[in-house]
Amino acid sequence: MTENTEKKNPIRLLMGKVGLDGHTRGLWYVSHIERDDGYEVVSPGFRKTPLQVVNTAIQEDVVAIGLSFLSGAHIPLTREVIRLLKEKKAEDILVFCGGVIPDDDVIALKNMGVVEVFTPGTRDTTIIEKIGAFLKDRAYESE
Amino acid sequence: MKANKTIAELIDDIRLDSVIRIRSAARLMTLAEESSAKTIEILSALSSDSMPRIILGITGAPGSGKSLFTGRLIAEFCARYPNQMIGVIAVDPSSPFSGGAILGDRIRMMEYADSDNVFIRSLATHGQIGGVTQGTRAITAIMGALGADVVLIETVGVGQMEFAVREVSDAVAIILAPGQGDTIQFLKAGLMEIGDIFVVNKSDRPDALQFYAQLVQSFRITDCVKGRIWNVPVHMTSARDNIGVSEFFDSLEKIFSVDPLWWKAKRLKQTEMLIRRAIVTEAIKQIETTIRPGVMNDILKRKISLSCVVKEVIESMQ
Repeated sequence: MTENTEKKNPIRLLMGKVGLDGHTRGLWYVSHIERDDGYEVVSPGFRKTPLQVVNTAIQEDVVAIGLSFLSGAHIPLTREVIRLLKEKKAEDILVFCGGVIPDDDVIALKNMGVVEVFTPGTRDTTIIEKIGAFLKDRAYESE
Repeated sequence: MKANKTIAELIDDIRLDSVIRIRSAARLMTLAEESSAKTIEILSALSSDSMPRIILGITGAPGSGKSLFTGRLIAEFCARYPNQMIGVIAVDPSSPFSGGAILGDRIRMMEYADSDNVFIRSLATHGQIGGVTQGTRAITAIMGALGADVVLIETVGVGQMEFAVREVSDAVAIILAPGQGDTIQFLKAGLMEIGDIFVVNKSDRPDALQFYAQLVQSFRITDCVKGRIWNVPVHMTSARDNIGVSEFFDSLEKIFSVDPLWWKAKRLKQTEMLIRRAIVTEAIKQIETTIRPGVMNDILKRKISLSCVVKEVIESMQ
């Protein structure tokens, strides 16, 4: 258990899939370990448009969006999510990705502003640790 | 957006005609959930803004179809009033172990996530019982200030004794589904008494009609119109097949057209109750700090009586 239930309310994350991609196993698994670590995970489901995901993130006041991919369309879809966040003045909402993503694309995503990419084989403890780390960095920046 | 805007700054934001107003409204909802003091601060600041015309609580057992039914109501509202806004508050349970939650009611309502006229907020119970959360009334008011005409409050799946939703909504719809018991369940005290409008969902199932008949029969015995100014309607619906939702909406509108002043008085009473409870909550927080660490053991060992300690605690606060 991390300290995030001690103070105020739990941190809210959005976990979803955009585009035509119904491979949800990874999404549900990571949502579940986040729940067990004390996060509130808002789930818009899968096969959503970038606009649906961004509108949801704003209405739900989440601090970060996790996007899961197996479709191969991670670059254009993530770019669109980040563009819409800027358009709606919500660029402080962090974006992280996970799924089957080639090494070169991991670099491309990070250059776009994605804070972390979790590829297959990443241990659950590592995922939780890294999410905690980038949320902590964000908290320092906004103070 | 600046991370630590005050409640007053956020309220100024939501009155702007800018993309930031939705963001600020959402942030305000987060603050409303943090403490009863903040809930009341927000409610007071918005007290001259218009509240939604209809606040409908939607409750029922887990898996009876509340979320999908709520999704269908959103669709029905958007079809009837294409230029009006609807707000939805959807509550899911928090984990008693980690404090975390999966907030998944939205999945059944995503059809309208592209629309600026639908504002859906998911909330976790944070260990509170009753099916709704502490900030619900303030969040309803924020939706009202954004221009919501109707607000739907979908509770967590409840049993027989969770009915706090009646304290934050005008009318309560109880969603039932066939297979949830027979007449004796309907006669029991608790949940069934708070329904202002009933729904027998999953009417596509073969045993639905029998269930419906038993429910209507039980109402003849219990005289459930007690204290209400309308006849309590019972609707057969199938949220899956989108059957009966429009008729339900007609009923809803009819209930609210009966006596607007009656509804207004009801809301005022609810708000007063909410503020009263906030006073008690804040007072208890202060009382907690005055209890001496060793005093519990002293009471147990009969060194001092409970009533003496109570007197001591109250006197120390003056």
